[in-house]
Amino acid sequence: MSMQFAQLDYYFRLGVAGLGRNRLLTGLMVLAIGLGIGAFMTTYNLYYMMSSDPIPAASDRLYNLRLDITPAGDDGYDTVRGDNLPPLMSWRDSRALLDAGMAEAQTAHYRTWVTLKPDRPDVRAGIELTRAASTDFFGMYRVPFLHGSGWSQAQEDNRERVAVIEKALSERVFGTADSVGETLTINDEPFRIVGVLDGWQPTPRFHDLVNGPFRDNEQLYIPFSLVEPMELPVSGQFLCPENPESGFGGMLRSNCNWINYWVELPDASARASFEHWLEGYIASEHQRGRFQNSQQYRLHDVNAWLKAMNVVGEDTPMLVAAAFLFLMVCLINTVSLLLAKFLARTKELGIRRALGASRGAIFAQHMAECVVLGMVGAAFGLAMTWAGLRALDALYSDLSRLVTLSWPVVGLTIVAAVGSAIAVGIYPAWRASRIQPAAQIRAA
Amino acid sequence: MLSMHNIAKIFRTRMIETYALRDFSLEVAEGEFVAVTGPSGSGKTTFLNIAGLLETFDGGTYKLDGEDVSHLDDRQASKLRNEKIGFIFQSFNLIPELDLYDNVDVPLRYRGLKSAERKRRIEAALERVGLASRMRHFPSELSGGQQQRVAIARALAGEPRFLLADEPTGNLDSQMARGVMELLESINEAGTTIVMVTHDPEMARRAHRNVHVLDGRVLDAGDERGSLRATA
Amino acid sequence: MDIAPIAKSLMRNRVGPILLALQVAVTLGFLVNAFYIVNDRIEEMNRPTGVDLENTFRISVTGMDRDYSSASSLPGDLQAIRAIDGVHAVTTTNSIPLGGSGWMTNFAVGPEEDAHDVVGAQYMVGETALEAFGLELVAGRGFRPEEIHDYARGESMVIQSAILTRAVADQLFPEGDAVGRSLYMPHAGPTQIVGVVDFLGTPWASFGDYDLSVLVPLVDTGPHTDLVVRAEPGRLDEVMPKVEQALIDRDPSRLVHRQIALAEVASEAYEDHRAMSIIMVTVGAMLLVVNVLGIVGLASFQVNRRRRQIGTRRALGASRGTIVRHFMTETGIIVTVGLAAGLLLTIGINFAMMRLLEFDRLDLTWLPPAAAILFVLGQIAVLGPARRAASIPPAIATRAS
Repeated sequence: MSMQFAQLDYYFRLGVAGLGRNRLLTGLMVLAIGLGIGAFMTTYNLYYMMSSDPIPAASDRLYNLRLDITPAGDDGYDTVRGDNLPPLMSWRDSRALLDAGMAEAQTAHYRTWVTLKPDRPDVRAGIELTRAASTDFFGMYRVPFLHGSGWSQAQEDNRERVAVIEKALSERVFGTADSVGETLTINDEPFRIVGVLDGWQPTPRFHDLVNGPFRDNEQLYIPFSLVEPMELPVSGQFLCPENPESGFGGMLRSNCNWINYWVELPDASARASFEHWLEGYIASEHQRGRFQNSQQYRLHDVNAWLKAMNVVGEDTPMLVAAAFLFLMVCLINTVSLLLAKFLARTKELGIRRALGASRGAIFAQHMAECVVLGMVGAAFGLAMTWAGLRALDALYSDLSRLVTLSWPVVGLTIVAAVGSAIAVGIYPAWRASRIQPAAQIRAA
Repeated sequence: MLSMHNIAKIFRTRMIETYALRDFSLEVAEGEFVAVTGPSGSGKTTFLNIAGLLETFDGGTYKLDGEDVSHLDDRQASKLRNEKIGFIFQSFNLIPELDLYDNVDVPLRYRGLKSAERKRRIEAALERVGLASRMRHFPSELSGGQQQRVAIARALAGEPRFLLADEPTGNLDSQMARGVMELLESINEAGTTIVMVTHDPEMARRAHRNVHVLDGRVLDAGDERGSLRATA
Repeated sequence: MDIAPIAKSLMRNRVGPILLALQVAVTLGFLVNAFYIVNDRIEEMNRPTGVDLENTFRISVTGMDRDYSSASSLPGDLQAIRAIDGVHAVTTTNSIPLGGSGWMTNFAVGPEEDAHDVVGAQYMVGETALEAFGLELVAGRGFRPEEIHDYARGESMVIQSAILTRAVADQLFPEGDAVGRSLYMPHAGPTQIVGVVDFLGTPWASFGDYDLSVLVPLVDTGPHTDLVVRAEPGRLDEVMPKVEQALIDRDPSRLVHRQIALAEVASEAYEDHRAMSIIMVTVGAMLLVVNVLGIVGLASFQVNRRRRQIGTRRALGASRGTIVRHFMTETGIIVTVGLAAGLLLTIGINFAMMRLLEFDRLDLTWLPPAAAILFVLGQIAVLGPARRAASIPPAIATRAS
């Protein structure tokens, strides 16, 4: 055991020494592996972040719900992969489903905008993108609170003017993170702050994919029951199968879709009973002349919804493929360079072989050199990945959260670099191990 | 055929200048078979390089086949080597990636001969050295003696007037060496001038004339004897 | 040059050359597709908007008080802006080309369900819209002040007239007689077509029929108003702060915000395309560098390994030029083999993409330039090592081993 270890140690020493010789070639190889791995991991990191589960604790029990509200004969929408239903819900159905409350939890929400008039003279009045959301929003989405909590169902039902605020906005308006109990003037009405969030930002933003999976979340949340009295406008996708009647009332009465509707269904039986009820609802609405195109509905859990909305997009896989080709070329290049490097030592290897080094020993020595090369390449590759992510951040304005180096990707980078170095080293090391001891002493 | 007069070759380093050849003069007549001998470091390889236009020289005159070659540029020198001189090297210098046919073909290609003409010459040259049957073999499949025969065939294929041999038997055992010598003798008898550099007295004796080089000069007979005594 | 013997000798030591050829093949495949993608994106980015992008900007006014009404302040706002020196024209609008948000509507030639129609962008603008956007009228006239109707809350929508882009007019009225005909929009109409403009892009960069736009004379008198202001040529930077200040001065209780040059809006709309192009070009350039390094590396290795052989060739009559040509030919053969393999690879990938992704065609437009770049680059890359090979002294052939 100790003997073997000593040998391994010797091979690694030879490996380090081998890399030290012919620095230019070594430098080129480190450059090739580092650039290749860096490019690939940069794009892979992006892909990994884009396709990661934003809410692993509940992603299999939260379901996005949509209904086929399009008029008879309508082609529908091509926003969602696999169906022609609109990607959002109407006010009328959202309100009816919320009031029925047939799921374990349910929430309807959309982005609006409000005017904000802080009481302090040194803070400018402005417009704030705000999410109107029903009570269960915070619980269903496991939103962590820094101070306070969400509003209660009673507060929602009573249309109380309450709000949940993000820490950043709280600090801007009140000068403190703990603003629970403070009053905020929203659309000229006094609102009481009941909770403060600590930068809640699921990535991708699964709860409102239609309006940009990687946008910044709103800084302010107010009850969904205030939509009607406050006539909260829509700031986002507003999809109408036919033009609505004029005015806010017309919008609420219309078949226009702008609301994200989610239900929490903890198990199959909960789902089955919810679906049973939903089908009854659709059927009764059908009787009243709605749902004439079809009586379809769609439930997608979080990850299925991310896929159906094609969050990753077309460009990112293309970038991963391009970077993979680049990595391949870099690795092929490294094989050539290694071959040149190892075969340049033909004389020395002949002598080592003559002095009793077995083929296996020569092979091991060269593989050890590749492992060392891989580790240096990994360090350079990590630096390149970091630089690549910075470059992506500079190129795309909405990817800032996707270009942080995640730990799994760091680990994968190291494994990929060392693994690549080993893979590309096998053939050159094998060639080196085939050098004949006798041939060397005689030949030119 | 070859006429060198007071040739000098100086190797310069930053610190010192060393004369590899100094006042080196030698005449070789058409059809002669001359052996150039001398201890290592005597300058015989430098002489060979200059005679074969592989190196330039720093003083004196050198006429090859009546033509002054002191001021040839690279292309002219290359053309002259290709057309008039055949080389035979101590370590054969066959190109390992090429088979025998293609090895012999190398100088003919540089001469720009037509394919049919090249084929005729290659086959004739390999026939002459007794290796026609192994045309498609590679050098690594041959013995040392056979490799040197291929090298001779390569030199012959160009039909040179002048053959320069550098220790042609140096890497061969005595039996193979004798075979190669016999081949060179027959080539010489057919009219080709041969200058052979060797340190093997037995081989040297088979030439028409021996020239002994020491410290970059050709020794006259008296010097030669003195030197031989000194070595003994 | 003597290709046959060089090719034959390459076959004797083929691993290095094969690796290099493989590298060239993959690079060719990448370049062909990258060229295609970048060209496609650049073409899309260079699409016209029909609007005078260089001299036009958007600015928004939002009332912060509950009782604010833009209906009462808007005429004064427009008047104040028009009075500013350097302002060419101003209009209210609901969207701007490439702005990302707007109204998508069906425009039909008749009231029936199955009437011939197109889906496009509905721009809701004021009477000076053509001047403010800088649109070129090719038939009919612009809007008249009396045609502008409020699209205020609680009122029903009255659309008195419409101006089509040439693209909409051509699709709906191929006879070329759009002006004077009626246009039908859902819950509105018939609407009289009063004019045709040459071109106006939709607010959506990714909208397939990018120039299907219709202008209608409507103004939204909600608390939020978007204005488009066109400056006299070259005076945009000077005019922007003046307009902002004028709006603030008129009513400081309002929020004046979101001012942005339309050129910048267009540039932001194509951010993904630009980023993709930059990345593809960067990776392509890096690939070429890696290829050059590979060629230099392999050629240097071959030169070092064959020093004696090169000396021998020199002795046998090869001039320096012959040696340089030898190595250039060698690299030329390897690169050509790589290009041939790359061609097959590219066709294969394209074929697979056609089947998997329903790519419409096999596009090899960019094959010849990509192949030419690789070949020429290979010849340039090998020049250094080839020169070094040529400088090997022929006397090396006589040196003892």
